[in-house]
Amino acid sequence: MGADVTRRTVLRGSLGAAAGLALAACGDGGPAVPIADNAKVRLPDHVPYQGVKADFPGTPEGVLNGYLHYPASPVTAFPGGPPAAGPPISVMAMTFNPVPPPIGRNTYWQALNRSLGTELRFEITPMGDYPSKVAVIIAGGDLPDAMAVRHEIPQRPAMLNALFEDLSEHLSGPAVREYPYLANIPTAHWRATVYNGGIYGLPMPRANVGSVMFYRADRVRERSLDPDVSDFRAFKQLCTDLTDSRRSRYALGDPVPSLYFVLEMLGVPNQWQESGGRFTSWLEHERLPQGLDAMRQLVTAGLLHPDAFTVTGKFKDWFGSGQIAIHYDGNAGWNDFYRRYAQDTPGFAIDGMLAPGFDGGPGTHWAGLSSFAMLAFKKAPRERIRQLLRACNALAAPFGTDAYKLRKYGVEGVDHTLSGTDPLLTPTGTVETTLPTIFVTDAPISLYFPEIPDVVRTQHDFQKRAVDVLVRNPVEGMYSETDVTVGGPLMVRMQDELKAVMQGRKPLSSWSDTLRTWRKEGGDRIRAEYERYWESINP
Amino acid sequence: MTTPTSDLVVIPGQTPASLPWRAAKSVLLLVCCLLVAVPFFSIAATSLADTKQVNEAGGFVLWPERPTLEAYRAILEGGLVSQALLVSVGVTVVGTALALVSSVTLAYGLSRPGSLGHRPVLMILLFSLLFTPGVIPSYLLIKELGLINSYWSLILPTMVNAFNVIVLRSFFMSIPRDLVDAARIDGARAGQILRSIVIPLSKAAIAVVGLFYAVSYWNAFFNAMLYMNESAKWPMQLVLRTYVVNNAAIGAGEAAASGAALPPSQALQAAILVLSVVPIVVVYPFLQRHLRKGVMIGAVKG
Amino acid sequence: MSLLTQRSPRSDPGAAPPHDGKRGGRRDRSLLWFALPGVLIVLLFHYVPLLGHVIAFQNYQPFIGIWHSTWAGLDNFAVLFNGDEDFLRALVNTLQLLVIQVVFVFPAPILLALAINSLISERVKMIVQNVLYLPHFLSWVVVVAIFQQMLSNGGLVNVFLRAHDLGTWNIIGNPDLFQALLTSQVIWKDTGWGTILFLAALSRVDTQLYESAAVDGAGRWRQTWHVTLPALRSLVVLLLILRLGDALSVGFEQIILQQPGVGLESSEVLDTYVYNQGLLAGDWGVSAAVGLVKGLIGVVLVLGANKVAHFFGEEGIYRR
Repeated sequence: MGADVTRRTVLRGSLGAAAGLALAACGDGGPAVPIADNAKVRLPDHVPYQGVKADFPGTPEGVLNGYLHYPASPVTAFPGGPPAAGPPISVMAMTFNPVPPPIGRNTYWQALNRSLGTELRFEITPMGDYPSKVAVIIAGGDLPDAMAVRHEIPQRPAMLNALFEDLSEHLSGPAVREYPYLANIPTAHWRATVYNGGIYGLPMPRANVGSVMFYRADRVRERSLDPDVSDFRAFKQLCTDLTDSRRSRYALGDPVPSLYFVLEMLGVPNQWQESGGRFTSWLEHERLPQGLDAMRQLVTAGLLHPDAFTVTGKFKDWFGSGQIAIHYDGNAGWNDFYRRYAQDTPGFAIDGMLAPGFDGGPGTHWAGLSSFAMLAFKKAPRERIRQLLRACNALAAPFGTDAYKLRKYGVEGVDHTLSGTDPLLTPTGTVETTLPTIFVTDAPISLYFPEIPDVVRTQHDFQKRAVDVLVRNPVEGMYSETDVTVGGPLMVRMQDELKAVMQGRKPLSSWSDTLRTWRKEGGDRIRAEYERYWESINP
Repeated sequence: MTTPTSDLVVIPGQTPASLPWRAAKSVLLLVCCLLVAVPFFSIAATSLADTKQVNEAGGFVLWPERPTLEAYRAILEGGLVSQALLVSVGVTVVGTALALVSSVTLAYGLSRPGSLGHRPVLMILLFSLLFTPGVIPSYLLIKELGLINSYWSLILPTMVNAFNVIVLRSFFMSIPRDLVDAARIDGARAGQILRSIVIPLSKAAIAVVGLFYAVSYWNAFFNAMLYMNESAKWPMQLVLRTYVVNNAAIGAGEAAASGAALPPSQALQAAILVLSVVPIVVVYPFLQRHLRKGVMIGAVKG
Repeated sequence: MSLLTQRSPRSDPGAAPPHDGKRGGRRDRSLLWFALPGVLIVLLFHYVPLLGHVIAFQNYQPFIGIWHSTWAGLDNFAVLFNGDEDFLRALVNTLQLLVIQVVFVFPAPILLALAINSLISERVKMIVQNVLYLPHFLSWVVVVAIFQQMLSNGGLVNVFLRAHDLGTWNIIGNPDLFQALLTSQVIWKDTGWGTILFLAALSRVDTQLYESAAVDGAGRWRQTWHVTLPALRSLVVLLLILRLGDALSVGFEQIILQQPGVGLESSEVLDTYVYNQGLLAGDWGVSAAVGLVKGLIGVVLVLGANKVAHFFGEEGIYRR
């Protein structure tokens, strides 16, 4: 998943050959603080927000809170008035959405600023161009007050040390309690903000459960099939039963995520496996070839869409229109698929499938990233940093508060209308609320879909089952320079090889050669760097 | 003496081709046109189709069964696109005008081999085509010049395109020498020669180069992304890009982490294409007249 | 003597009157003044930032800046000279594509321009042009999507074939057809647009030349050969030379969008190789080094091609 995206996202950025002139003075990127200090960092305390009772309560293991309806009278998040009064704050963030209308014509943006007591000046860049923009801004030395920092930025520890503020004194341990909504973010999400022995940013929390193997429950039901497959053989049978090539109906689409699902059956690690300080990549796991072979069987049997290997960007639409019945996608799909496709397909229903053990018994489920990126603050006087933190605290106000309702649904009558107590976005609201506040920071995600509240129940059930077999990626929050610079592109080449085998372009036996290439061209270095890092934080 | 009657004339003055040959050529051109027109018609149809039909067709449709302007409404909602359209038109008009002035004068200045500084200036121009400056130094330069967030940052850096200048120059140089020399002997100064001989005789070439500049200003988005921090000042192509490119950026798994909404529908992407091509479709026929003027006739006779 | 050669619309460069002496020199200085504004723009916005290519020899990081980055010698160039098997494959693919593009893609707009130019009706001419230049304005993402919808396994062509029991013709995912696919995409996208320059050149052909040729007894083909083509010749040579300056770029975005379908082996070219090796993603030094090498190769090819043009009596970009 990651690599395919990484390639695209930096595609634009790297088109132009690039160089740099230090016309402007930059920080002297002196040597970074030794990483061993990271072990001593005390992460912010977790003080869960208790103001609103969830209809489907979450768990510490990572099940999210689910809500059927928005509270009739939302809790006032800041009874004392706008929390972040002071000079304007510039924030540089990416967006996956169309850019919102400028502030002069954006009721929502104006209302948000009023509620904060300051002016949020967003500098928005399309995700595909974000790496280029970050590079020029860093080189130019004109940093915004706060900036979203992604995993693909190289030399991150040194850069953060040189240009950005260490927030430990404000956030570490009990200090975070001064910002109650930031304290509501579970500790796990903070791990990826630690560098140079300090906390260098705020997380943008995302669902632990990560991706989901969605299936079209309506189509499964209509054919009276059993979606609770007990092993790979049953899964293959289900796929066969869902395929009808004469009517252009197939079971599966995107081959690589489909492979992930088979690997979850086989217990192959989620990116990396750590055992006593020794790391193993999923690529070198001994059961990967078995997964490839299983995928090869599915391909040969014609259970994948005939264009699955060649066409990009069509899988969601195939799933929505029923050309494929099983589709691995992000957690956001729960709501989005209904929103996009339900109106055109009577009875449209989706559910999530957990990987069974390959030969029976329980399988595994790979956890997603717990934070999309982190928000780093430009070095500034203490008081200014506190103002920024108060603003971000407000932008992390959780479900059930008036601040959350404003942040996600804008102004009543303009951006949303109420259906009962639930806000539903108007067309204006849809456009205005694309202001990328989710790339500043956010409350932990809430399961909520007022249009079809039952979706929340289904999703919550799925999460409860998934957390039992959740496998985390042990390198999350760890830093490997080689992984940042070489890892993504190397993964593109590995995916090419994986596809070649699944497609039958290359024999399964070619995989050992491919693996040697991977080790030689970066894999060994990446592994060694993670092992060294691990030792330093587990003395 | 002239060749056969005008309705059979193929190129004015040229002997017409045989009938089968002309028929074959017509068929070939017709096929070419269909190969282009059908996909374009399909894009327009898709922009008007509803999601159900688009999803069933798996991409583009040939005819909107239940036509809707939903996609256009979604794009124009909020007014950002229409504002960006103004920015684009302004940058394109001003940019093209300035680019034409500086390119025509530069090409004219280089049109006489052997003149003072001719070779080095030509080489400077030529090599600028072969070496592309990097993103970061360009940004630093714009920043030092104080042009960040200024529309000039979208106009000045691309005002002289070496390719266009070299093409213009080659047209200028093909103007018969005796014509220019005659004017010189009559005492015309370089500026007068440019105005009264070179430009009038090169209208087609200048129109073409003007079109090249206009299109490149119209399509440019990367500099705006780098230099314009306020999205309110973005040109249309950058605004529209946020609808399309981000779609490609979302893969399985990443969507989970991004918390992003679904990618825009196919209809919306088609509508964006229509919106970005329409201005060019509207403007082109006006330019085309200039492209077709065979102004050399008679002039050679001089 | 026939008018065909004497009155061709461009003057014979060899026949330039030798009066660039003292009298001409003063006038020519004024020409330099005309060039000045344009040259200043190029120097400022092109050459000043080009100085930044010094980082090709550095371990450059944006936040450290050019003054503090350490020197890397020629390390950044290693990728281009390490003789890696994948690299050689990418080089071979690139050269193949370059040859294909020069042979098939380059002449396409010339032929099309000749065809359009010979159309009888001015109206039809306008319409044909108006339609054919359109694809130029589509991005590669869209062009690729259109081709996929037509030619993929579930695309229109194959749906038709299957409906008539004619089997399936795997085009999009077929490594053997990849270069043909790329070429047809480029031709589809840019041929119409490419005619514009040639049509402008054709518009300057003195129609009296045809008449004179007819008087001299030249048939239609000889008229085309002796009147139409000479009008295009110098432009064709010029554009060909300029294309060679960019020889090693054979369509980065177009290719990288379609790589996942056919595999890297058949689709890797220099630009995508450098990219897929992770050398551009954040490695500014390598990317500057690659830019320098490509530029130098461009210089060699352009100057070389110009010499060849001189040999054949063409002017090329500059004179001997």
